[in-house]
Amino acid sequence: MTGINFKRLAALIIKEFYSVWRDKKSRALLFLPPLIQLFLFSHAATLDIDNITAAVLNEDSTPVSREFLNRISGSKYFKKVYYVKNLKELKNELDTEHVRGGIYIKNDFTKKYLSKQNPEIEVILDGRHTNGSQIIGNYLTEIAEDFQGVTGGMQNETAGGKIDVIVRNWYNPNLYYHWFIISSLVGILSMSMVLLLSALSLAREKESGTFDELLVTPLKPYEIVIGKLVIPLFFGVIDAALILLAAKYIFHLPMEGSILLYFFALIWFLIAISGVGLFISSFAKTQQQAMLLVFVFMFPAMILSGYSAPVENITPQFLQNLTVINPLRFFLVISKGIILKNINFYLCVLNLIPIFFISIFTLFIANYSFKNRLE
Amino acid sequence: MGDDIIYVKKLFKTFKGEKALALNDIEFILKKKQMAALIGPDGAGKTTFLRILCGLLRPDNIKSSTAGRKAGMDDGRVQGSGEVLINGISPFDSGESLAKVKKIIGYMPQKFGLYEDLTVIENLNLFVSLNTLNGSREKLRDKTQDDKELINTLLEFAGLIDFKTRLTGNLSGGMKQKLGLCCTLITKPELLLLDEPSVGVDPVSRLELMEIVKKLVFENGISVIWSTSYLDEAENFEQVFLLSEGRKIYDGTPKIQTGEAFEDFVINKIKENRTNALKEAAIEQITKGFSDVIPENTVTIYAEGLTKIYGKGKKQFVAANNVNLSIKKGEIFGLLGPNGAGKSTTFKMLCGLISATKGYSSIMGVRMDENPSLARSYLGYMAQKFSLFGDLSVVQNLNFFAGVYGLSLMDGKRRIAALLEVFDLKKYKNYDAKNLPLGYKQRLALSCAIVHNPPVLFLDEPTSGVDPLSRREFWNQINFLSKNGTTVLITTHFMDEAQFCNRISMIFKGKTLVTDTPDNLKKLAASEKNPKPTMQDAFIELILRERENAKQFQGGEISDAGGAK
Amino acid sequence: MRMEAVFALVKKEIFQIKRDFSSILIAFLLPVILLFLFGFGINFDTNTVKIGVILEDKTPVTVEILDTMRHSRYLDVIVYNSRNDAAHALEAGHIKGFAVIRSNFTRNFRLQGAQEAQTAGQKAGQNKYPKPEIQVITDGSEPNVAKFVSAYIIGALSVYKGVKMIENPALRGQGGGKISIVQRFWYNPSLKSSYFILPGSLAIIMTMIGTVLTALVIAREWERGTMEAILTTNVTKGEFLLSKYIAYFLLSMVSILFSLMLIIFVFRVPFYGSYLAFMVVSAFFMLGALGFGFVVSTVSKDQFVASQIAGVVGFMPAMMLSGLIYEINSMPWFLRFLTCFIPARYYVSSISSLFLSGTILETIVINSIILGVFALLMFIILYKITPENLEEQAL
Repeated sequence: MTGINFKRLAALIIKEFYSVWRDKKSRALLFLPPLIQLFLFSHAATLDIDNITAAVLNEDSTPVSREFLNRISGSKYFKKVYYVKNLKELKNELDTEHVRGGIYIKNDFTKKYLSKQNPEIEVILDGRHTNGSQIIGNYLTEIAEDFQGVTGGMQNETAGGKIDVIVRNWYNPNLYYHWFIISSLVGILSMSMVLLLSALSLAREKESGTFDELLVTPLKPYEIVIGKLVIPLFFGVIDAALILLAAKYIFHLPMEGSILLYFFALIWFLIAISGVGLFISSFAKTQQQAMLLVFVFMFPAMILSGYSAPVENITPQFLQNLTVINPLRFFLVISKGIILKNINFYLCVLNLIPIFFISIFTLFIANYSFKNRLE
Repeated sequence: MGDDIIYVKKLFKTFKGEKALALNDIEFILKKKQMAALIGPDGAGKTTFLRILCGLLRPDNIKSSTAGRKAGMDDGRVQGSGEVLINGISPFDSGESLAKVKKIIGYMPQKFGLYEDLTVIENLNLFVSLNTLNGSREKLRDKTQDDKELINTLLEFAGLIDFKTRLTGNLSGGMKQKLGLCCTLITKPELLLLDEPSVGVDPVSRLELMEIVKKLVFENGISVIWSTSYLDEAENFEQVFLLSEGRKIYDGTPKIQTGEAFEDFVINKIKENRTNALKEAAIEQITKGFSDVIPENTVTIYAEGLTKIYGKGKKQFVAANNVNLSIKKGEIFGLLGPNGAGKSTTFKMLCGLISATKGYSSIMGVRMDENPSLARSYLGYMAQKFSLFGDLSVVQNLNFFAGVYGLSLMDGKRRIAALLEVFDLKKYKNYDAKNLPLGYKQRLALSCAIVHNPPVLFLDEPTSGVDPLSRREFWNQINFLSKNGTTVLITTHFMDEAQFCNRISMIFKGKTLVTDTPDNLKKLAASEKNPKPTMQDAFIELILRERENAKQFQGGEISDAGGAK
Repeated sequence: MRMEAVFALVKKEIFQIKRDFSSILIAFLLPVILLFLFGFGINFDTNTVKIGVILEDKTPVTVEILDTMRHSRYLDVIVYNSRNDAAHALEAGHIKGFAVIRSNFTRNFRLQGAQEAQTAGQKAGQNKYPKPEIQVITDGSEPNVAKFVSAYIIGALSVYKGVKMIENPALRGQGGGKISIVQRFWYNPSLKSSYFILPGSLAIIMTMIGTVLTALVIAREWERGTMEAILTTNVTKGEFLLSKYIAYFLLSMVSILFSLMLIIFVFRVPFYGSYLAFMVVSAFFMLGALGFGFVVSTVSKDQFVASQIAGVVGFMPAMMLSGLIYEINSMPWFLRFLTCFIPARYYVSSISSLFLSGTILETIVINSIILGVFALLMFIILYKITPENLEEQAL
């Protein structure tokens, strides 16, 4: 057992490269899917709500209520306001999803308002879209408070004055959602490429019988592991680099931190991922099984990464604990950290440690399974 | 024309994107109740010919009234109009005529066209139902009754009646073959087209199948085309149709007027017509000085008490039992046995693909279990079905093996250039390995295995599916290698090939029955009736004897031995 | 069309499915895993967010404000001594934002109050005193959370003011009463996001099952040489495809029903619609998804290509563009246009209505028609690209 024979390894790596690269049709599939997804989803993925349509039932036709409604339809969030005659109509509009919310002003609104009796406005929201509806509710509350800020006053010395809240959003002053999405997509898209390449390449060799041929050569198990790692890693890094270029020059992300540090972390992350890929394919006998297992890993990894929803929001605690074995979770922290926050080296390394352990574990298993390929 | 079941005239076929004609001016007549063998090297167009006969492919120069894709119709190569008539009907006239032809024909594709994840009876039922015709509904009940009887007769006939509920995938090659035949017979065809029915099937089963088909011809008046690359098989037919590179080069009886042996006759015929034959002398050059440094009589492959046991407890299964081997430099050593007998397991243990449960093996004195990497560096390996890296070009494949075995860049280049030259692979240099014709795949696989001048060569079924000429060439190459001191370990189920080995181990049910020279083995099988047995006779005799023994003990059957693979 | 032949082929497919353990796993284990993940993993419900607070001005007033924040069920407050500490915590992601109550806050707060009381009714604007300031810093690298942070802090402050007002009714504004927005969430009063996500995720799950399940079924027939055997019988292309459809349709409908039961009985999401309508929409959707899977399986020669196509055209769009996670209305116009061609969009909309608001006939009928058209289109494409003989497949 004398170290790595680089000549052998180089031959293996070249072979791996050609087996991915030679076929012109699948060559395009190495780069296009991540880029297409980047452009589509960076725009799609916004949790902001605008272009809202709402139905209004105004039983109180006075200047005050009309002024209030004008403020709603005039706000930047609302696209169109439909007036309806009764609650039934409102329900129908909401049922069929023509509108996202209903605003119901009762006939005593102005009377109460002017007599300082704290009138209520009923806002009916579509609970089928929990997230969006909540945000719409907040918008309306904001509008109401604003409306009062101008027309009403209710302060004196003991109660204090109007508090001026100055909000600053660090790292992303305009709260561009696509900044968040793109800095996460770097990890997600390169991950899916690396996973597929590493898991399928091994499964394909098993299917066609060439895996035996590899094992009969003097290549040592760990050399095979390394050889099988390098090419998926290579294309994963290229995909990530392409996405980063697009991020910088097309989407104008700030790119705060050190690019060197970024690629250092990226490569470790992708090593861990290709380790997972090899790990997966050591269980799979066919490409179909490998593909299935890839999806079975990828979906949870994506969903439990803090990308679709914050990790802290995952309610059963054990599921939240499970995220510690998810390399993507840690990499997303690093990715966002370096691109948007310029986090320091120490924080970066702190998140790299779990990734490092995951990669050691999966690579060890892959190596072990090559060594003991006994059915 | 009245008693011609097949009448083919001026048949041309080109595949899209290919320059060469796949079939070139074929003329062929098969009389009713006749059996014809379709032989020829790989890529000669045998399968294409059969596929055209049953309407799966469309010839270049036959027009049809129905609209459809006509490959090659418009590239100006149409050489007048040809004719394909099956029992007087052209499959290409219309959908109806195709349906009629399909009814007459029973076609068994390569690999038998069976669903491996269905049981025997499920496969049969499926093919019965698929062939019911319109309007048979009213008599459905009667029909099902008929079908059941038919199925049972067929199963009985093929000796599969006891395996009705077994998964097809778990059948032995010979049984699959018989089942495939049953599935095609179910429609009561008048014409049977069998595409390489005997590939991958042990000789006993091959004989049995041949008997079944002969009986069919005799009793039911069925006509048969049987495509094969086994020439000994073809000798049993009345008519032999030899194709090479898309051309007909012989059509007649296998009994050659000149008294020439049939095999030699065929090989010479092919050679005359072939452009890509090997320069035989060149191979000697490239193998020269291979193993000069190794002293004569060195034991290159050694095994002691090599045993492989799968499973535990009751499910325990001994795949290889106490194998002892000692093979010397320059020997050609054959491992023989039916499918699943354990020769693959033994072979894989010897080259370190699976580890032994007990015992050990060594290559050039280096133990496989102690320093596998070093031990492996001494051996060249050619896998079953020539598994090459299909997505890589010929040169890239060679480069890979040169690199993996640690050849320096210069040495590698020189060596690869020489191999390309000798094996006539130059023109295919940049082809994807997966697109090579089978014979060339074999050459490439061998080149890859010897790119690093290994003192020991492991060959796993190196000639299965390969045409007779390529096989002969291949053995020539092996002989040169062995003459120059390379030790060759080979597994095969071609009996005639076993003769080329210096020594043979016969393996059955995990046990080594005998290890001896081919001549001595033949003597074992000699009897009064058969004083000069062939290798095949010897093999069958030995297997049958063992089978008798085994039956007395446990009443199993051959294929059971190969449950795990 | 000979029904016997179709029936026999369907039977064959079912035998094959039964014996191939992985298709059973795909049909039944995959939905469980995915539903579980979607049910728990994607949670937009308002949860507590961790924030920091720095009191540069420590007085009874600011302590009261701090207490109000602490009492908010959305905020989990950590007090920091300096901005620096808080900034570090923010960088490391321990907190999602922090509020700084500036020095002089109390003084300005009172002065401002007095001034406003005097100038009440008049136009605001001529401030003599500096405003009482609270600075809120959020972590913009997670914009969604950042918005919640500022909204929650502002919310807590208005609660504080509200309490003050109730304590002192005389203070009610001169201009008018306090307008309160009463929010009602129809269809999902308790506003559980899993009520929407779980049913909607059926669209993604079924797209995935449809493609993974079928990814090899057609390629396999060619590879194993069984297609050749089938082609020499009298089976037509239509019969062959129909049998594939029927078998996998049956399997996936069972899988859908199974998932429906899971959602209703295990995850306890209410179901107000009609089961019949559910099955109808699901059937149309599934036919399309299977058709898509078959098409992918026919055109792609290996698994890498198949999985890339399935990913890029199949379930990534189903996840991102179906309106399940991201609002379609908020997308730029070209994406909104694109979503029209994503069947999952129509399915998500039908399913969430069926679950939470009942059978809205108009929605169901229109969506079913659109999904039906998709399914038909897929079938036509599939029929066109399925070869009738070996001619196209020969090489």
